Amino acid sequence: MKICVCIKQVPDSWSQKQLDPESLNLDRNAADRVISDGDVFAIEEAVRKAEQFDGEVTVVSMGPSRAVDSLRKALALGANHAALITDEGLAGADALATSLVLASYLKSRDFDLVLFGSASTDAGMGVIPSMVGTRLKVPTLTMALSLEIEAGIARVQRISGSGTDELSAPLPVVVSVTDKTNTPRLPNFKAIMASKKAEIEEISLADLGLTPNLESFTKVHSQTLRPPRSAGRIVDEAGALSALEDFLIAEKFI
Amino acid sequence: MRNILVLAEPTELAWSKATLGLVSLASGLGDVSVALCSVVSDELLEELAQRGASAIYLNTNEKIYNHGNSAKADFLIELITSHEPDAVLLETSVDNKEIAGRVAVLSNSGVLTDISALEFDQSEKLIARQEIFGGFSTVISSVSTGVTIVTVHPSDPGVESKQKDLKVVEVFTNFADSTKALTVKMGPRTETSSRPKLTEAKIVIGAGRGVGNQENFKNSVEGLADALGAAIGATQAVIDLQLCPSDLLVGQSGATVSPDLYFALGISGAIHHLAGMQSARCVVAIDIDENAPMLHNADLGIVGDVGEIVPKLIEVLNNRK
Repeated sequence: MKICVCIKQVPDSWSQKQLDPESLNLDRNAADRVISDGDVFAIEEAVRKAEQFDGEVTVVSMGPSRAVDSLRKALALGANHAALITDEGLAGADALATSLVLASYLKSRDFDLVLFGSASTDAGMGVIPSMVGTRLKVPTLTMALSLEIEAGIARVQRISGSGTDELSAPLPVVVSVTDKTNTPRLPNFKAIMASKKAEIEEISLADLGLTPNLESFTKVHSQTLRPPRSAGRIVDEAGALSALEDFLIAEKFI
Repeated sequence: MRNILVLAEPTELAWSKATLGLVSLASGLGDVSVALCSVVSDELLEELAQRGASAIYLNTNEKIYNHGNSAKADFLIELITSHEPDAVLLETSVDNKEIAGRVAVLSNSGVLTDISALEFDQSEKLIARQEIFGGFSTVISSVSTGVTIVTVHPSDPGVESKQKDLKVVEVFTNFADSTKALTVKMGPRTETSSRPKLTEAKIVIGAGRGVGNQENFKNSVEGLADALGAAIGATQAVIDLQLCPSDLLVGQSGATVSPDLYFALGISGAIHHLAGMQSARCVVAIDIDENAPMLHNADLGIVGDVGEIVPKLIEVLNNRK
C-alpha cells in the first residue's frame, strides 16, 4: 500500500500570528515553526497502516526550504520517504493553488491512501483535503474519528451533528484525521538520528509540469489587527457578587 | 440584478438563525435563490420569501444524503452551471467548508471562508471581510476568478419585509462517480441539548481548568448557563478532564464565538482559547489567579474561587426571577 501524508509547517499555535504588512501573505518569520498540530495524527495513522499492510509512507510538504525541519521530524516519527515541493512561484499561493500543486504531485505517484490532518492551525480554512480529493477524482472522507481498511475499502467514523456516521469508499481515497484517531508515538533516539541524515527529495513547479506563475483565485486587499481587549475592573472575592450583579444589570443581561 | 445562491440546511421545525441571516445578507446583494437538498413545509418556504428569496431550487435526487458532502457540492455545481450566480453563500461549518472546497475546484472559482460581511464596492466587485487567525486579524479580500464562493458567519438582522413571489424549481442532479463511490451510513442521533447553539448564543459560559471537577461543572457552569439561558463552551483542559463533550471546545481548534457576553469561569486565557472568543462584546471572568491573562482581557474580572462565587450568583439571579 502506497501512503502519502501531506503536512504543513506552521507558526506555533501558542504564538501570535500576523500577515506580513507589505505582501499581505502569512508572515512566516514572525513566529516559531512547527508541524501543524493535527498533522502529527495523520503521520501516526499512515505509519500504522503501513505497518498493518506492509506499505510505505511518503510525507510531502509544500513550503520554503526550512520546511525540511518538519519533514525530518515526520521521518523520525516513522515515515519512509520525504519530499519538499519548494519554488519561488509558490509564495502567497491560496487554497486553490495549493490544492493544484499537491494534486499534481499526488497524481504522479499513484497513492492508495492520502492522509491529511485536520485544519492547519494557521490559515485553518479546512478546504484542502476536499479540494485535493476533487482534483484527484477520488472520494474524500474527512474528520475521521477512526480509519479501518479492509479488502480495499476504507471506513471512517465521523461526528455529524448529534450523531456518528460511517463513511466508506473503495481505495484510492483522501482521508483527513482528527486528534481522536490515534495517540501518536514519540520518536526514539535512533529514528531521530537517522532522520537527520535522510535524503529529502526537492521538487519544483516545473518538475510537476506547472507554470512558475501559479494563479491565485483570491486577493487580500488590506488587514487590520484587532486592538487587544483593554482590561476593565478587577474585583476581589469580597465585592464579587454585587459587582457581578451590577454589571449584568448595567449591560441589560438580566 | 446580481444573482446570489444560498445553500440552506433543510429542517422540520425552524430555520437556523444562520440560514435566515444568510438569506437576509444575500437579499441585500441581489436576487436570491436558495438551494435546498430536500422538501420543507410551505410555512418554512414562506419565511424565506419574506426574507427576499425569489427562487427555490429543490433537489429531487433522494440519494443526496447517501453520498456525503460531495453530493451537495455536485448539486450546487449543477445550479452554478445552469444559473450562473455571481456568488454562492454557505454558512461556515466543517461540512460546508468541504462543500465549498469541492465547488471551488469544479467551478474554477476562488473561495473565502469565515466571512463576517460581504458587500459590493464602487466598482461592483464583491468584497468580503474575513476574520483570520482566530479573529486577531481582520482582512478585506475578494475572489479574483470565477464565482465568489464564501462561507459566512452571518448575524441575523431580523425580518425586514422584502416579500417576493417564490417559484420552486425541481432539479435532479447526477452525481460524479467519485461522489457515488462514497457511501454514508447514518448512526443513531442523540438527543440535542435544550440550551442555545454555542455559535448562535447571546451568552456563552466558558469553562476552564479552574472549574476543576464534575460537581463544580454541574453546579457552577451548567447552573449559571441555565440561570442566564446561555450556551456552554469549554477549554481543551476541561474536555481532557471529560467534564463535557469535545464539540463544546472554544478556541483555535474548536468553535469561534462572538456572543454579547462571554462569562469565563476558571479560564486562565491561553492565546489559543482567546482566539475563539475575543470578539465577544462583553467579557466577565472569574479566576483564582490574579495574574491570569483572561482577567486582564475582561470588562469585569473577579479574583476568586469559581466554586464559591458562582453558586451564590446563581442564587441571586434566581431570586430576581
